[in-house]
Amino acid sequence: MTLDIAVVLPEVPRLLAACVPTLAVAAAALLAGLAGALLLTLLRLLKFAPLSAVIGVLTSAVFGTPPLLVIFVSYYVLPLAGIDLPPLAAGTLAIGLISACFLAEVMRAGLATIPDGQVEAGVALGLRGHAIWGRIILPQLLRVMAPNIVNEFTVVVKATALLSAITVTELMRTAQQIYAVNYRPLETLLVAAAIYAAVNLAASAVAAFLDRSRSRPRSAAGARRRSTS
Amino acid sequence: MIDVDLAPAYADLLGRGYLLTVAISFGAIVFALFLAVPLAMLRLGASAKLAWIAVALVEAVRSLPFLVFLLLVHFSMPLIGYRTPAWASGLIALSLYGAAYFSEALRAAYRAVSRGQLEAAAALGLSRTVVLFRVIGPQMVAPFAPVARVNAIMLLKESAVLSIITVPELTHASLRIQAETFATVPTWITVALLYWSITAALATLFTRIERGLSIGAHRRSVRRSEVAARYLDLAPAPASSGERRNAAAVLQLPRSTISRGKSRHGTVGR
Repeated sequence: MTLDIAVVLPEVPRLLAACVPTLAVAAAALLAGLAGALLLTLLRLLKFAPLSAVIGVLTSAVFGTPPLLVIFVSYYVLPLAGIDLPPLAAGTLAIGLISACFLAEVMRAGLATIPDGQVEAGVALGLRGHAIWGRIILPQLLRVMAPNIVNEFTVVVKATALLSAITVTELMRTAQQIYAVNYRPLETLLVAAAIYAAVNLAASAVAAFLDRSRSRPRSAAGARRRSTS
Repeated sequence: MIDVDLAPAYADLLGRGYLLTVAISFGAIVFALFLAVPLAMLRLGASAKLAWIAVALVEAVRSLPFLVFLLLVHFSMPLIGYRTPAWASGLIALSLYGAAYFSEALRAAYRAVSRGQLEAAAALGLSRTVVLFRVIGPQMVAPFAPVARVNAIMLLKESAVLSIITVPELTHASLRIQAETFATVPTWITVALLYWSITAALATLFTRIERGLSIGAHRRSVRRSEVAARYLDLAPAPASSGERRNAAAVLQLPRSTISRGKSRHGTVGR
């Protein structure tokens, strides 16, 4: 057996096209994850002990079990509860849930970076709760979280490959379909791997850039922006 | 709903799957830790060319879904003359995948130790081995351990993917039982609990190691005003606990405490 990458060149357009479902699922799952994380954080802020306990158990269960298992449960068990989702939706839901739990933990860490004075000033000015959250805390929180969110995108992109196991025709499953026909698994997988690597390395570069701009003091960054424009 | 009669018949299958999952993931964690050391040394070493190769390898592996990496390894084994059984491909792939992650963590931990420590050791004329094992090494434990814990748990969870190449581990066993009995819910719950137990064991193990080996690691406890706590604190912390923890940290402060820069962003783990 030899490595002959030329045999898969005709399949490259098909693999590139398969990026669309992969990226769409990843984007949807990340958005669902962010919304879910916000919801979990707000619910925990109620400081209602039983609710916090339930969220704690949920988070621990999701972190404690393999993503593949969460995906299988979402696909095979939800229908028993009367929620019969197509593979794509079930998979997106599962990845979104895992993301939500992780991003909620990031949010918790992010909240620790916000100084007391910010909230106290808001209260002193007579702002209502939703304004303090929406106008003061959330913008700063998202700024602090930005690199983690982009990093989470790479995690989510990697998780979408698991959806091939529940018959979602994304990049990975397309590659499997191709090598089932041309008997060239290695070459086909190398092309798929190159595509995954390109997407994720680009995202990592964005995350690294955001991380650098985060650690720069904001006033200095603003000054630089003003002086250059 | 939970059919108890089924349990004994399939306990054996499940038990074997559980043991295989534990064996493969613990084996992979150990191999990965050993492989990570030379990789990290290449990255930190003097040769720019070797460092570049190591970076390229690590970054490439880390950017791939484990399933893709696993199949690449599985299908490329015949190229180098071996037709490995699925479990062996799985173990190799999991070890290599883990090595990429652990080497990155090692490199970051090395960078986290302040330059001054290296310079002071050099100024004292300590040998390279002594510097590595007595000066830098112990200080690397604190930044390395939490990341290593996250990576170890990740490897355990990725081992479920081996079911796709028919390794009869826990997930594979559960799929089989489910297909034969249609007892979907009890099977998944059992398997989830089994995974959960291994994750918890791993987390405890690494936390023990962390506590046992690290020096100069101190917990940062945030104490907030009442007003701010309403918006920024997620748990109703008992008023005295923060103070007590702080006091404990002060009392245990070792001579060599190094005020390590913020642990503000990086410490979140899965």
